[in-house]
Amino acid sequence: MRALKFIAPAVALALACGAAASQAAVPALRLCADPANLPFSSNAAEATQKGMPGMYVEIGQAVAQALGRPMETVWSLSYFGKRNLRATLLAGQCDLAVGLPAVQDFMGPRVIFTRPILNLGYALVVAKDRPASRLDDLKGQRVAVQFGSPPQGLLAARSDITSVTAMDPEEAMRRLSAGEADAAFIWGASASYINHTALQDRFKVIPVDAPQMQFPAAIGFSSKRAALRDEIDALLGALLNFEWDVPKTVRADPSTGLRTGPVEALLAP
Amino acid sequence: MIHRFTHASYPLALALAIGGGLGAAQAQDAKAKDVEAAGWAMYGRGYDNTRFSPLKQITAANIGKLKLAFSFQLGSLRSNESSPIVVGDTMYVSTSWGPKFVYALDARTGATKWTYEPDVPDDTLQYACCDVNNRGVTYADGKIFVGRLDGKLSAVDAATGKELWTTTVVDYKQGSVITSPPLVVRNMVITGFGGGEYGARGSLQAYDINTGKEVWKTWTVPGPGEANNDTWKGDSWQHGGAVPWLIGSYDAKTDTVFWGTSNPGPWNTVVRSTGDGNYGKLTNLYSASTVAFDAATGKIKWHVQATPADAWDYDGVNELVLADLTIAGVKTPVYMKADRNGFFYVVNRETGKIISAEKYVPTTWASKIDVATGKPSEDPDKRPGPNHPAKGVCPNLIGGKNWQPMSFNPQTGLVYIPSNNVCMDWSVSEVNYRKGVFYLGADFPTLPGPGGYMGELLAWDPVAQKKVWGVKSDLPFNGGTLTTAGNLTFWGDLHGVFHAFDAKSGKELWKIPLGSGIGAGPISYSVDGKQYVAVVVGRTASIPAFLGDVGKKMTQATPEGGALFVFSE
Repeated sequence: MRALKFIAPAVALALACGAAASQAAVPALRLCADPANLPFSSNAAEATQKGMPGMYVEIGQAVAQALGRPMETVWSLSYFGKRNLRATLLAGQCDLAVGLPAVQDFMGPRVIFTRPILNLGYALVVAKDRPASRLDDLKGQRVAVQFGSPPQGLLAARSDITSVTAMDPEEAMRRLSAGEADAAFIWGASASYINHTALQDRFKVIPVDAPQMQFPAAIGFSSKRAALRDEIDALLGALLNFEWDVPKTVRADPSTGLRTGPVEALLAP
Repeated sequence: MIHRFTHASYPLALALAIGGGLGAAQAQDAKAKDVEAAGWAMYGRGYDNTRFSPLKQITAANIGKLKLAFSFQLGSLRSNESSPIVVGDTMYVSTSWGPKFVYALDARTGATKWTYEPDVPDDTLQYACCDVNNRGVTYADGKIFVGRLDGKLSAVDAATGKELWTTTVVDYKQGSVITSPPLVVRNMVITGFGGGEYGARGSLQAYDINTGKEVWKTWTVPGPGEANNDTWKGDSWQHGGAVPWLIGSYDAKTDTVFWGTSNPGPWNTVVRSTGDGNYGKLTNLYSASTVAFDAATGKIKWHVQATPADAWDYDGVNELVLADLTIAGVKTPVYMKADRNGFFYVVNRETGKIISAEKYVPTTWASKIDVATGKPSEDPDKRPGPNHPAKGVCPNLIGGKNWQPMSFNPQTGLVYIPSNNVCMDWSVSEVNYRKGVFYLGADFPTLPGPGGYMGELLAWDPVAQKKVWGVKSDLPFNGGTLTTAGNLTFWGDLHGVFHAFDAKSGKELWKIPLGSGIGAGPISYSVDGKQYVAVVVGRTASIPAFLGDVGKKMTQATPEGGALFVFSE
């Protein structure tokens, strides 16, 4: 496993001392994660070998380490996200899920959250040499959007931009790089990841700051696990005060292959 | 006479199979008629989907003696929606999850003849919008045809259960699954698939029954250069939905296949239309429609769209029940459809002309349907659009009737509809939360409809367009119906209780609790001169998840289940 650098030295020391004695007795912290959702999570052999299982898995590992517990990943596809969470997180198959929308009406009182740890959102993607930086700069142009996404609805409501509909961020980026679209307006983290890993950073990724475009995300739990949530929430405070900067690390270090431009750590405690 | 059964309403192959070896044409006819009356060879019994059995051994006079002949555990829990079929003395019944199993049983005893376990991958639940259901299989030419959750269609030897061929209809990983039995016409097995909300472009596809090779494929969303492509905004036709995922019907006289199509996608109407009720030509054809296809070529003959530029998830998939009704003194070939949008349609099936369309459940989104144009008179307040959430919309997204099949009894002239009385508040937010599309809004709040009940078994006069009798239920999404020449109507509810009623009067004559919610339509058949009634139980699991507190009541009513019950005297 790739060494992560964001655990504060004091915490790491405490872990090192306690770990040998307690490891066997301590139950694993079970993370719910999607096996095919880079840059967030992956169980693909390549990702595992490179020590790059995705940002959510890395966050899970950091939390588990700080708790002094081994981590176990419970993989399940999240094509239908809420249904997947009902069958995993809410059915007690796993203990936590990283990256859930930190709003009370997400799935009602059944799901509880830590404080927000990330901002996630939609972004414009344009060639580096283009001056465009906001939607109004794209008038008269073709913009790739994902089917069923808020950007699709937003573009459909205006007549001065032509939508090019894609089924997923990969297709949108492929059509952009093939010249079938002049720009893309898609999920920022996915755009950055594809841009970096497949397209040699030919494009710039610009977060769109507008209503319904950026979302705070947190770690989510079943409401039956309030004690664990409180424990991890308190720990996040400590990590935030020290070096809780997984997303920043990932973003700043292209060698991880997990650069995620629009992802922002909420560093304030 | 309102409706007459003919050999043409049964698969040709079956008629041929029983013809061999008989001498006089008359004897052949008589024998064929008996065999035809005894069996239940396809989902809706015949090509007309009436679910009317001409058997009349079981009547009001003796139904008190009805008892269990056998039961059979399906070995697969939840959303068991299968109509068994019976050919000769063999019953074929499928289960949920793929299907996980198809069983051939002795229709008298339940003894297993063979079990077919298709090789369905274990990740299909992730891609099935509305659960891992399967509604049954189809028989023709000594073969059983099985539509599968993994987007495949398989043919199995009806005698041995051996798989003969498997073909891929659609990539299930795009959210398209097959949950309904196909329709066999001559040498073709015809199927659609699901996934209207998830970016599919609908099509109906015909395959050769012997090889599985494609015979024709017709898009139910026209592409550029085809008629009605201009009913879609921009490139939205590419992922327009309009998938024919339920059951087809067939009229041999005109060689026409009928199929209902789903809602268009995505839910946000501004992407594919104008975003409000002034949709003009942007009606999104052929979504939320009934489509008539030429059986030989697959070519679309005509369509009737019930809900133009749908904004409520009013799928138009509900089954078309074919009958000849006497309307204003004239025997008229019609199809009947209890549309999800709350209106009951009676349409001339040879011309596509709407004869009548009236509300059969509490309905607020539109006041009436113009029978000349098919256009609904909408209440603008009830159409959700961008920045325009709608409140008090009836029916809700499960519709006045969902997939659970209705039946038509030519002797009473009544249609028996498992109806829902549920309303909703809705905004245009995409509720899905998946890769690249983050969660936006709350679930659509589900509200019980007016009158303090949420479901009703409706006995409906399709000519007068009025209710004759009804049995109310505290829950929606109850089971399909069967009606018989014994003047009986059978119906299972979400409490898992299986009922029999006097078909004319609605008087309850018999009931028995079967332990898990019932969605499937019952069937009736006869072997060795004895009449049986069969029903599959095993309640839904995914649908209640969309329905908030109402959904909780649905799942609390019974445990999940998966069993077949067969009754006789």
